[in-house]
Amino acid sequence: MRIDTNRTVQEFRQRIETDARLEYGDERAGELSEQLDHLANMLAGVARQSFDLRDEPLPSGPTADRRGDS
Amino acid sequence: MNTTAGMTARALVESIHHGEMSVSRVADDHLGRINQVDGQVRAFATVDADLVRAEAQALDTRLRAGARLPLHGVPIGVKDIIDVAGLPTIAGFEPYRGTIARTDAEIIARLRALGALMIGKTHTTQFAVGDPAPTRNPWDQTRSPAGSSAGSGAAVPAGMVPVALGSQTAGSMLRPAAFNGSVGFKPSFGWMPLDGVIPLSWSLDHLGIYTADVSDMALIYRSLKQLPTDRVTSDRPPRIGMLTEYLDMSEPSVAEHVRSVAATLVGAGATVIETAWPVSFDDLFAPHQVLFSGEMAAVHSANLLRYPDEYGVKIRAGVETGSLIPGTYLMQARRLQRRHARLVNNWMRDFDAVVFPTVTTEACPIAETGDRSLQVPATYLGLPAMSLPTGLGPDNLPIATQLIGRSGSEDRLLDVAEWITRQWPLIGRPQL
Repeated sequence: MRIDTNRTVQEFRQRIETDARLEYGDERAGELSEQLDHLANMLAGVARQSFDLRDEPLPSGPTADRRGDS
Repeated sequence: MNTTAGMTARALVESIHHGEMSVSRVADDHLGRINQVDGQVRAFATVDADLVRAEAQALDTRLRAGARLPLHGVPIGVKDIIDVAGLPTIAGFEPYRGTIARTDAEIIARLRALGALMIGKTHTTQFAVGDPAPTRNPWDQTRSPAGSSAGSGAAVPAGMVPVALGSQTAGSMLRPAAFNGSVGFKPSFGWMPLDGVIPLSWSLDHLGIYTADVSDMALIYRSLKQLPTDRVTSDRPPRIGMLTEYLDMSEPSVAEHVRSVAATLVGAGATVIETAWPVSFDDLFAPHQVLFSGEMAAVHSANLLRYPDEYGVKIRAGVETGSLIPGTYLMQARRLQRRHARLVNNWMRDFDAVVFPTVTTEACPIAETGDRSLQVPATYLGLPAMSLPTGLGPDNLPIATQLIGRSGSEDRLLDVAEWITRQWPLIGRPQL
């Protein structure tokens, strides 16, 4: 799923419900409705702030192997 | 005194060091207290009395040989996601019953080297998530002891141990401290080692400590840090930020209580300024929840497929929905965590601590584990946080004030906590 800072909670909800139905079936996806609502809100909260990260340093990769490098 | 159960860790160590009592006597008294009240509280998942007595005898042998360890003979309850050699780590998950840990977790090994006595394993919600543990709140057995560190949070005020270990990935250390009326302390992210602890979310997992008072907390913290434990703390009145956003999220009686505490501190010379962090609660909470759910799913999804019927309702739903989080959003949440931690740590330079309630309410009914909202910020930001049981609410249950410091400011935060408790005494223990 692409990072779209303008994607609405409802758009997130539809997207993850589609994934939940594929992964767990319609009945279980229905049982997870409350959790899917919450997750859609949280994903929208992350998306909304993602533009702030344009100057944020990226997390570094493994560094332990570099010890002893000349 | 007929029993040593209920004494502070500091008083126990002093008596043991001076030869006034043996570690074996302390062990027997605490095992006796567990037998007396744990039928009501249900704090302990596993207690091996023979193992405890054997370890107590070994500590007595060292005492006779002249050893005087900083925590000599202090009984400790251990949350049942932390390995203790010779005991099972069940984590509230039946398939793990009977799997005996061969070695101690790193934190247990460090505490044993300081002379502490592991008295048993305390109940946790399953894998430290949201399905309630069997533990009861010692103040009212119809109320929740919170979670996930339910047994550890309840065992200390119930007088079964003077010290217990818990963990926090959202609010699992500080909320049990608040609901049960113990002092809870979660140092900065990474300060307490997680080797030998069942993980939940590697970006958020912390260990923490429960005691009955701040002096005991300083004893444990300073012993672990290998510092002198009899240090006189600072008398400098603290400069405190009171975060009104979090007061406004709380029940009026809880918010009013914390305002009363703050007013008393001002009267004693503290500076208290009503203010706000540079990041809102909503902006912190969203990436916390994405990290928590996504990393929990990574830890548990394979195990859930193997044992689908053994998982609790809440953790199963959490793992299933966490598995739907796109990787890009998980990475953005991690980047936001680093950004927010930097912003808040820079902002905190102007203050010794910030305060707001530990939980929005008194202890909730037993079927739930309570509101995690106000404990999440310190977890997500990796900041040291302490819960002080500063009062009783309308239902005569504990209310707690939360103190949060800059990353790495544990020493000053403990000084501030000790200063506060000199101005505003903590509540006593429940009657059992």
